[in-house]
Amino acid sequence: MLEFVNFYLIPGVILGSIYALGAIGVSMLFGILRFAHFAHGDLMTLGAYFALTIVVHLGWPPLAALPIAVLFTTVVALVIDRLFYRPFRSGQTIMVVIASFGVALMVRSAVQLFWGVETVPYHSGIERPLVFFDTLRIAERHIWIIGGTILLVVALHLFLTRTRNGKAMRAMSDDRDLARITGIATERVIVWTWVIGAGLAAVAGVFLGMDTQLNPNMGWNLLLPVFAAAILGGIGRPYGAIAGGLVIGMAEELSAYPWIGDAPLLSPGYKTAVAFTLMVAMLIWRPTGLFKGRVF
Amino acid sequence: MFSGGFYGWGMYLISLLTMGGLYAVLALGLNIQWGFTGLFNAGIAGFFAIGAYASAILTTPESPNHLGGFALPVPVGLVGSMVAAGVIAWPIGRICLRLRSDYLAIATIGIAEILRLVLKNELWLTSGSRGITDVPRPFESWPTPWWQLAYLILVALIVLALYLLIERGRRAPWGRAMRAIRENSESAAAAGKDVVSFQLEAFVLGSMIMGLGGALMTHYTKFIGATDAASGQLAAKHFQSMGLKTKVLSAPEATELAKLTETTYFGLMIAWAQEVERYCNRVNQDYAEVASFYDEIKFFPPVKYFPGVIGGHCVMPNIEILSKFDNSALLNAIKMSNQAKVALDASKKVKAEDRKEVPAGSVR
Repeated sequence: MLEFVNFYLIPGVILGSIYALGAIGVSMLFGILRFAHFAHGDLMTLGAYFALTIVVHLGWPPLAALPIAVLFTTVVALVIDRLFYRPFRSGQTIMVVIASFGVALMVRSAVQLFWGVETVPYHSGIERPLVFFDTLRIAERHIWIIGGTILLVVALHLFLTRTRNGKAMRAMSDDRDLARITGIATERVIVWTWVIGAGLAAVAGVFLGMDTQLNPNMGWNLLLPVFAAAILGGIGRPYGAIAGGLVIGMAEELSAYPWIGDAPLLSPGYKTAVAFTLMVAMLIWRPTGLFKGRVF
Repeated sequence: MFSGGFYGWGMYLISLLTMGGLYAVLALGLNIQWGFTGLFNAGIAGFFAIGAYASAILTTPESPNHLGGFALPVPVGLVGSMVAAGVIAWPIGRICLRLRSDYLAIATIGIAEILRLVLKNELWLTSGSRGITDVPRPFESWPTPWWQLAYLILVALIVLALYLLIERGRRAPWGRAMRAIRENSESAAAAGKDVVSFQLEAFVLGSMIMGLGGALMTHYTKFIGATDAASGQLAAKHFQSMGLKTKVLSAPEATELAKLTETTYFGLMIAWAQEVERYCNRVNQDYAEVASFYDEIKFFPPVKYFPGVIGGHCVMPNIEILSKFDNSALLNAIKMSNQAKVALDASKKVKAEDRKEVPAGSVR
């Protein structure tokens, strides 16, 4: 039982939290800008590496570097939107999708160019997990990751329900034309969407770097599970994305638990395949997701 | 016979054109799907890989590392690659084609990724990440500049034949129906065209051509995995240009040993940490405090190891492999240390449970 909690459930929740932070951005961008943002994973990578620079040069802990990484990533995302996505906004969606493919490659190459291709950690050395009730083991950084995710989700909830911009965002996600008719400044909403999407992507990247290590492909490898989470939760539904992220993260980890007999239910090599299978199945049989999202 | 920069440039041009031809095959496949019917398949790599593996399995000599090795002639491999890609594309198409643009792109990438995981994990089928070697190459017996040239001509002829066939199809009623579906599937359906079966045809046909592209690639590169220093250096250069860190070892045995001993080194470090922990326990001291002193010593490995149980899928199995190869007291010591650690953890657990059972206030 404790092995289940320590080695399967807690890692699943941590992975799920990281997926959720990425999926919120993907889901909102899909809802408001109407396209699948394929460069989202690489924005995560970029955020993680911005934080790395601060960790290495100023000696700050990754969490202290987080706000600056968020700021830089958001600025980069806004510039990318202005240069590469806005010109295609009135055209076919597939053009923006392919543009975001190109942006993904550019960002990844830039990371390889500036920071190198090696795998690097924020800190090397051992960290003893904290032990609760003699048997429950959880590392301190994992507590930060879970706590940080909860904090950000609550903040996002307050933003979406209490502020004008948040409400405008939800309105635009529900019906773009109706939102414009009621006088919502759509370009400003788009800027806010990028601020939240790219900011949370940077946080997810830094958390992933804290959990494991940094390398230029880290975000790209996360992209499909993040899409899976967004689709599972329902496109344009931030709360759905959170639930979707947790479900996907836990499904990946728990699929390797020896549910029947002693052998893992599914070879750990197929962990990510679980996410993709869930995603494809949802796309086909229930494209609105768990939270009744939009289908375009 | 030949010398100078001109010859080098010529060889480079030939290999570049051959690669270009292989990409052209893939593009022709995608053109049927995306260009004719408007299906955006982003999982090209998956069908490419299926074609490559199918042809490799059909044409290599018998091998214990993967399925078959059926030693069939290369043309059979090429046809087999198309059949395999088509057979796998059909159910995928049946399920996925109802999705629209972005969604189809995401779903097909997901499926390509699942196919990649299957090819990587099913050792009996593909021998996993070790790959399939000894794939026969057409014109293999020809001397150096000529086989490259012959292969380029073969690829060019295949591209030309595919282009003419597809162009013929595009101008035929079949192609017009396809384009009508792309422009407006509702009106095509109203005109009595079976939209779903046309889309499925395009998807399967395009995937078959992608499979053929994969097969042509595998017969061209033959394999990646160095048998001699020169080709090893070449592969290393190629990987380095892609930004991967590469180290070349002189023989496959060296590579294999490097892999086995690398994980064992890791195991040795952990076993040492376990040993230190046992000494610490004997005098009731904390491992972390004792180990923190290692940081002061500059020539020590920078990472300190945590005395946990060695689990996982590589360290202990690799030690077993090495032990079979030759017995070693040091390796046995790692195994014993790990067993002792398992026993230690178990006894701690028992003690913890004992403590819980003791009623509050009682003395023991």
